[in-house]
Amino acid sequence: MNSTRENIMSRIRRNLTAVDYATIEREKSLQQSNPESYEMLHKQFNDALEKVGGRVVRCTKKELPVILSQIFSKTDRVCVESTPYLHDISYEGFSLEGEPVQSEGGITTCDALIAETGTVILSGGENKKKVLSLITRTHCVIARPEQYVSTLEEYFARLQKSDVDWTHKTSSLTFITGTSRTADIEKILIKGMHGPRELIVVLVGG
Amino acid sequence: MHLNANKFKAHSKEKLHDKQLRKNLLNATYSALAARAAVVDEITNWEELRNRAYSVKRHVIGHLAQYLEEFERNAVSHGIKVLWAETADEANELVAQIARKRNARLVVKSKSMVTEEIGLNKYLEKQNIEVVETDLGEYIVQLNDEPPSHITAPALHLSRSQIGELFSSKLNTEYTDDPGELAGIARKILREKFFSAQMGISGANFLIADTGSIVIIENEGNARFVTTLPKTHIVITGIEKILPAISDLPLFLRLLPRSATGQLMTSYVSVIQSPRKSKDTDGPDEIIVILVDNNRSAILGDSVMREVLYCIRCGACSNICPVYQNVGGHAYGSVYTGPIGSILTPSLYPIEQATVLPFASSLCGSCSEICPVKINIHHLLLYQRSRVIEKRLSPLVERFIFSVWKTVMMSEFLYRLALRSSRIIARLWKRKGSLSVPVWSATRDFPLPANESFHEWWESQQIKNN
Repeated sequence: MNSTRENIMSRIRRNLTAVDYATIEREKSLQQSNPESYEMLHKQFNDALEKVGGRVVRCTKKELPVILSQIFSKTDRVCVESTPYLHDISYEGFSLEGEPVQSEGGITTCDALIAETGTVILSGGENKKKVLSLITRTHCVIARPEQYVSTLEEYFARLQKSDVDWTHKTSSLTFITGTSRTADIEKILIKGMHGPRELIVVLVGG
Repeated sequence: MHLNANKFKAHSKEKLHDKQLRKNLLNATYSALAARAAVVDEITNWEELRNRAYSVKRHVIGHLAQYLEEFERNAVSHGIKVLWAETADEANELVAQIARKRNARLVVKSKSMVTEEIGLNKYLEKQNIEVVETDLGEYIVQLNDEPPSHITAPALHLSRSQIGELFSSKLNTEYTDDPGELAGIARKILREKFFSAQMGISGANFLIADTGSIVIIENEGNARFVTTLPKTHIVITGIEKILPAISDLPLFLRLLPRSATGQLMTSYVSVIQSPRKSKDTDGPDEIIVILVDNNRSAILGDSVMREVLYCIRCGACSNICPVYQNVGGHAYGSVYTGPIGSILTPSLYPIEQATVLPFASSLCGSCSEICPVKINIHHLLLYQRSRVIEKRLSPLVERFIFSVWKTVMMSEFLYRLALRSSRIIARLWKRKGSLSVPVWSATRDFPLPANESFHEWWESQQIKNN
């Protein structure tokens, strides 16, 4: 095994010495965009998400139970991620029993919202069910205004600057942009191929 | 996969007469190109992005050993196992060993070109392991027992009614040609497979050196299932997939989805850091990355061909290639199709087995123009042609014609003699204003030589003026 690795590595080194690559530097990553106002970010995110078949609902924390019962009016099987923020909400109109597998709807929090592309970023972490955002037909994300970031470049810049080493803390980051889809048959768009057919971002406060 | 590239001419002739195939190809490639154009036109600095991506790729390939070591160190520190394979067989055997040890009977797979390249599915099936492709397009071609015909759209060569017939015959379902219903049939079957599989196999779009991340891009969600539900997740990928830093990822996420499917961003991007942590409620217990060389490190030694390793597998060059648009992917007889396949295959495999592919191009240059990482594809096609010629692998007749041509062009006397005699011969053979040349004249005219050559005309002008 080790010899395989060494064989490959020594071949790479030998074959690269022919040209002096030491001088080749890569261009630095793009400039970060300027901070924008919340309203601008919100509009950008909303437009981008609508383009890929998702939608955004804005409400106060008080209105949240009603909004959620409207979203899940057609099903009584909803599963909620077990994070403290979502535990404090008093859910109405549907039961929260059962595993993700049997659920029609899934409610999760998120780490960030990328305004430019309408992307929701989820991270794997304690007590978070990764399949919840994948296995259900309707995925509902509860987000807060301060989670808006203008671009992916800025998101990573923030992660790198943070005191917590995210590379060890989380088992994965998942960027979700719209619903699960395929165009493998005659380039015709089909929603909900393996994952959710519906993506709703509920923005609480702001 | 078994290489069948030298039969390109015979294959393409056959494909050209398949009207259904050509209709499917034009429909698919044109709609892909239109979708791409719409989202590329939206951004003003597309050229700048391409230049940056080229410089990043050039840098990382030039420092490959160092970045591979950095990736390995970081991935291992998160609990990911990293293995190495020099050849296709070695990689296949590593996977089979892992499967045997864990007693895996069912493996679910998400799309991976490298596993096609090494022929993993057949290898595992021989060991009585059931392998199921879960990307809809890959699932379709697996049912049809054929290789994918496009890097990013594997079943692009089939129409909905062909897929409907395939499903009803192989899956015993009622015939339908409704894409939504067909997708539904596949969804139901594959959902069960995700839950019962002991092992998931995926490729990787990028490996990030400074964070030890595995990045997988997709739209369907099948790769998320494959990398989340089974206890063991194996990542099989080529050593060239490295990016130096996570801060380089956004740039490539601007380029790849736009070029491949005309999206600003794919539905899902998974950045995988580690197996399930102690308090995680799901995720695999182990992640094993197999870094496959299979001749890539040898390509590094060719300072011109090295550029082929910059490819991010978007498939845009296939979509825009007039040759691909007419013959489709299967004619190439290689896993890697279209213009990029025509330069990659003769370097990945012994060139003797793919001498025809570098010539399967009109050299129009559209591939180089559309490439998001600015690989100079049509120049590399010419370079591969020169390798074929230098190794004296072109057909005997062709070599003879060119050696005569060379002799004539190098002697003024022979050149003038050839010109004059060609005019005399042409006049003798003349039919209705054009020459009749076997094969050539069947589809186009062979114009007569002019009555006077430019040299002769010039000389006569000089005499007149004096």
